[in-house]
Amino acid sequence: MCQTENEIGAEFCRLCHARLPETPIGPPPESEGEAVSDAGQMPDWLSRLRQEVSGETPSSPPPEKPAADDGLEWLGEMPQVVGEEEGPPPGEVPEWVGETQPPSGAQEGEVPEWLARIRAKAKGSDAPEAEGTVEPFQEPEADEAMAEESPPGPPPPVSEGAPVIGEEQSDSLGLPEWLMGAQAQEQAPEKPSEPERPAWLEGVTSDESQELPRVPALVIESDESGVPADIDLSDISSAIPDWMAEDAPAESKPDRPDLAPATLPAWLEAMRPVDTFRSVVEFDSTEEQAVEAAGPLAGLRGVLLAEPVVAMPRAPTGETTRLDVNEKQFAQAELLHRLVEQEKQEARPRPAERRRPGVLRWVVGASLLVAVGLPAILGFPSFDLPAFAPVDLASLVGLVETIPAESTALLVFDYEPGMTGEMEAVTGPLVSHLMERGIVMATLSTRPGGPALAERLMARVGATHNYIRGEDFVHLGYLPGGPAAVELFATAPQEAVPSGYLQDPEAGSVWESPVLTGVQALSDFAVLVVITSGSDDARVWIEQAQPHLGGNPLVAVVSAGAEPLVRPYYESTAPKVAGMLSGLTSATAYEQRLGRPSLAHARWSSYGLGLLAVEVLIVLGALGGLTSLALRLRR
Amino acid sequence: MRTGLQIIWTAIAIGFGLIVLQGYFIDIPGLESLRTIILQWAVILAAAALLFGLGNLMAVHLAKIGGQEPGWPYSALLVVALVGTLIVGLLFGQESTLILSLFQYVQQPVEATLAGLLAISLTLGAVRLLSRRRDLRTTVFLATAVIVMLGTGPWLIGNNQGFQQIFTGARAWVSQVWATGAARGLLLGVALGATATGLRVLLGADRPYGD
Repeated sequence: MCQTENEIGAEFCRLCHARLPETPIGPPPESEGEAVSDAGQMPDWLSRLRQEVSGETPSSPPPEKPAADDGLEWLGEMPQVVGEEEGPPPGEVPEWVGETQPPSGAQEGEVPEWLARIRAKAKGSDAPEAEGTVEPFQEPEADEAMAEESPPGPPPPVSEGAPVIGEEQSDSLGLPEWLMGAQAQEQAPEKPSEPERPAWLEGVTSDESQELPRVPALVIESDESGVPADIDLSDISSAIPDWMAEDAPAESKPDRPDLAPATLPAWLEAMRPVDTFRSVVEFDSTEEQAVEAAGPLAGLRGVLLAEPVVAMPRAPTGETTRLDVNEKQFAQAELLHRLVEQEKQEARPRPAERRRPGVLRWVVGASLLVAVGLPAILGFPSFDLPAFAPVDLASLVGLVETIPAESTALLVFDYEPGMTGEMEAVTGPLVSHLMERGIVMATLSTRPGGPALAERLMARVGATHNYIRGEDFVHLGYLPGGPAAVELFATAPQEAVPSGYLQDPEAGSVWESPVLTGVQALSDFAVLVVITSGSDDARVWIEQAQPHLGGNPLVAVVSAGAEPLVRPYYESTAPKVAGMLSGLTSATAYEQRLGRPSLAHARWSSYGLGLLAVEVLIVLGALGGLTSLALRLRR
Repeated sequence: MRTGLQIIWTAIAIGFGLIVLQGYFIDIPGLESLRTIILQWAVILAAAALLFGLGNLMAVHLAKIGGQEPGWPYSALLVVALVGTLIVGLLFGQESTLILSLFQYVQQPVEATLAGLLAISLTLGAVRLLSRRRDLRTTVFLATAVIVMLGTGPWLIGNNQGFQQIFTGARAWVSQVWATGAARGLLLGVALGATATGLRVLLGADRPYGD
């Protein structure tokens, strides 16, 4: 129950609606020293404290001693524990429990002296002659019944009309009679009697002269203890039993020497919690403290609050750290764990969707294929040959014409096999012109496939000029090493390329062939022709080899795409490139000038129609884009 | 110890660089032969690097085959072709007819086909360009491409006549003025970058050979 004060005679609690014990009907008992005023009523000691704290005046007349047979009626209202009467089965009660069972009737007379003194004083000032004397305490009949039948426990619920104890009971420290009786039963065995001492204590005697060093207990000053000032503490000191007086604080015995204040050892001081985590609970003054509204301490002021102690930060304890998670939290934790694990795994690139080529792609491919293949296969349509030769071609032709006959030219084949279609058509007229001039040639390449491309071109063009490999031209082969190798070849050609390509072993070293007779350095070549489809290769040869040519010309044969990046070396005040040939248009014009139509002529119509197809497609595409834009804007 | 090694490597790199560099400006016979030896070492190392690259290529594709990764049949085809060509070259020599035939009838057509596909892809991109991105730069790009092509190739009608000469002149102006000017800027930038990089290596500020 909630201990709320209810009207007398109420059947149920007005707060918790619990069934209240019945109020006894009849005259109150007249027993002197009775602690319990009524069955189911507040004990005297609790009523007195409440009056002292709250300042209430007693609303009911002084309690009257209930009849002996009516005083324990409230016990009948208490719920009985099932099987309580049966008790534990035999053998389950430890032996030591049995030894500490309170004596039932044989030890009633063995009331300690201090308790007898308290009880004697509690009988009121009506019997002052009994003060200070030690007499056997005579329990009233009601107390005896309560001591035998009522178990030790909290007092019965307090009713609103509970009687207040009289003046004579204020001297008895407010202890209810039932508690005094229980104390009498509990305190008595704590004073060891001789027969109950264990065997190992037989030889030990209590010697006060051999006291162990003691530390005075922490005793709060009486004015700070929160105890009401109107409580007579002298009664407490007088009520202290002898055996307790032996353990009293040192200041209570002035004959004792002054003891050193208690000091904590270092290891214990180190274990003290940090100040910041120490729970600090500040107590208000007695007047400012709230009155407890519920619970067994209802009506009391200054009750310690549990909340500050629980809520304040403190040093972590050694309690278990196991998390109590429910099923939903566990599932979420599993999901998070799975996500983290998946992050560690290498994300495989999603395979690109294989989209079918669109119609436009097919149209463009077919158009280009038809445009290039139609003139090559059917010879229709035919484009007119260029009527005007490029300006660069005239200077190149003049340069080749100045090269001495039967001199040696070095041809560098630095293009990939994929560019063969353009480069062979562009290079063919120049090689043919050189062969017409009777110039022997040596080929070299900084690409692994270059020697084979050189053999292919020289064999095709040489066939028309009766040029024989090994006699009219040789292949120096592959020169690895990039710019450093070009620099090495420029300074020491024979050390850079010790053996040739497709060289007859019986003829010895390539440098011993008649083509390279007298060639010891790069400057011994009458002309250096760099045939490349990329600007980087042209730049390397121009920058690394041209200074070692000794004034001999360097001719660049490049694709149409590489022309803009090579042209700065050609069109400068001190040109590094003496001649330049690029594109199928120049090659066709070169063949026209030589009067030897070759690959350039054969591909001229295909080249022209292919370009025209590309131009038309681009224009149509642009018109389509503009049309779609106009339609979109109109919408 | 580590610092001492770094100093040694840096000194070697700077010394070799200065020896090669001096050959462009002065002619000292003793240093010239030393310069030639250093360049020969560079050529040998480059050839060895080609072999290392070949080994790395094999390792990568063998790993793909072993792991059955996507596209592993192509890796298997590459490895088979590489090993087959290598065996043929080692057995019959690099100048054998079989090797030349492999080059002429396999490698060259394949690479030429890829170049032809590049032409189709570029044409398709140009056709779609104005449909995908309509801005001034795109328009200028396409107009320039059409003008250069009209001035480069032959015309089916009106070839070698006045109207074509206009486009031929426009093509020459674009190619030899605008494109050459841009190329000069690129080449100057490349030259300055190479000079700065070479100086940093020679001064020890950059150590591409490792710390």
